[in-house]
Amino acid sequence: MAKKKAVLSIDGEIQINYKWSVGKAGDRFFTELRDHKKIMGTKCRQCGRILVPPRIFCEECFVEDMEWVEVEPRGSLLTFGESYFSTDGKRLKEPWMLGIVRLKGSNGGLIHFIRESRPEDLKIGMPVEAVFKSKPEGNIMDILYFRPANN
Amino acid sequence: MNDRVCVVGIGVVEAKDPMVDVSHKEMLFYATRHALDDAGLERKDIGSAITTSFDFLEGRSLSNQFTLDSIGGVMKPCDLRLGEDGIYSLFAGYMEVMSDPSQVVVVASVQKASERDPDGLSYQKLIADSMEPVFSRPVCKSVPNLLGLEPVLAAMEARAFMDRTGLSEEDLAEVAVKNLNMDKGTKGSGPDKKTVLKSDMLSWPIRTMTKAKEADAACAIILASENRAKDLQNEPVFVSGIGWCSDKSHLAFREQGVSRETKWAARQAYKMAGIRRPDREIDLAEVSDWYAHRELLHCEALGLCGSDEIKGCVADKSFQKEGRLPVNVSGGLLGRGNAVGTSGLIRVAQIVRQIRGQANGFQVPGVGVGLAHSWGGIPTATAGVAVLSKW
Ligand SMILES: [Zn+2]
Repeated sequence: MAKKKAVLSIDGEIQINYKWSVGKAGDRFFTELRDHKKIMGTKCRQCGRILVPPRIFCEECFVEDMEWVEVEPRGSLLTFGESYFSTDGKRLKEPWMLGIVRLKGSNGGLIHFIRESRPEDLKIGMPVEAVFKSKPEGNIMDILYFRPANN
Repeated sequence: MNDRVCVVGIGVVEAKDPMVDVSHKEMLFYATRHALDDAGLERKDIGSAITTSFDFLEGRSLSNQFTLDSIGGVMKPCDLRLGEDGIYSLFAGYMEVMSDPSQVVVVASVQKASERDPDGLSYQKLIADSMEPVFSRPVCKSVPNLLGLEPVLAAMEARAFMDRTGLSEEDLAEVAVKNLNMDKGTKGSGPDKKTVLKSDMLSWPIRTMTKAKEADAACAIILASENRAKDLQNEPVFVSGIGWCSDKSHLAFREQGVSRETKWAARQAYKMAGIRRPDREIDLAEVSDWYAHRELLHCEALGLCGSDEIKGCVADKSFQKEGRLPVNVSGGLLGRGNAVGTSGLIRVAQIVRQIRGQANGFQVPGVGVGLAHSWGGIPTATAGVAVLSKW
């Protein structure tokens, strides 16, 4: 089939900035993370699930009946993926990895970097632990990454 | 019973190469015009018109208001716009017909992917911006190269699925080979398993050939009640069941490597259509194969095979054109290209073609009941299911 002739085109873009509230639950979570390097979850008094990231309501029971609990900075790796893409388009020797970590005793998960390991060392379900930033600022990057942990 | 909802016209405009000679509004017009011609109707006959679109995919705020004149919707009950895949317009259109069975309803969707991506990063930016903004987005935005983001997220769900079911990379390659070879004109001349397994690895097990490429497409479908359809030229195709569902909004809260939303959407559609054994009662299915693993994950969730049968279904070619339950004989998204946000409605059009016996090169004989499925793509857990039938 003959190539179709392109009609003229013009350039376009949309660029808008935002400032999002982290919510009541996020405020408490990030304050504890910044000031005490603690990971906090909210426990639903009705179903008993501990939510991390926390919410002020349980999306299953649909009530605002939660109490704050501290969660250990370790848990299990639900899944992970690796990429050898670098910014300059060259293949990296050591890949960067993302994973989903479910902290011990909690329900939910954190998407975060997995480091100090290679993809072939990782297994679904293995224990991992958080590594914190030395000077936390009150956002999710105060956790630098997760790494394999001893059971 | 004559209040059932039918498809009375379809129009599809699609191409693997960028559609450089038309705008997205023109594509949508052509699709709608084809659908009206197919049904033997004119704009004056349209009772209401519905589109679906994603503003950021199109780069237009209020993108629906921009397209209503392309679907014949000026000064009609229109602008009922849904920010979901096109299959959702079928659901809304269904309800429109039920609320006033005398009217003819146009439902449509368009996606011109080729207009979006001059720097190759736009889609990845949209994926990052679709993540939950407080706990997940800052992580996704700080990956060393955004180009790797979608493949890594896809790999995470594929890995969990494969870990649970025992599927191998070779199994995923089989799916890709099937769909890449089903496309009209390239049957048997498409890539083989070796070629697929040698294609560039994006993030294990996602390769360039096990991930659908983006494509330009528009699709319009015309709905009417059974009573109204009697006066029209086409044999109607019945929409016998519809269902849709979304799982938890935060990706990390969901069970990985399953599609609960598909399962529940199907449950709703099957109940409505009176289907008890989908694996036996459905003749043919078009499901989202955005990535090769997704085809199998969705077949499982739709009940087209048991969880312990998936590997066996790949091995015994159950989902091939000549198999027990042909899946994506049109080539699916892997074979035809993925017009994000429109592909689901195109799956419906493909099923209508099969039931009418108009699927040309990829017709499966004697299709009485067909299923169309759509998934919203990463990081969504949103699915729609439509069961269509000849009787
Ligand atoms: Zn609860």
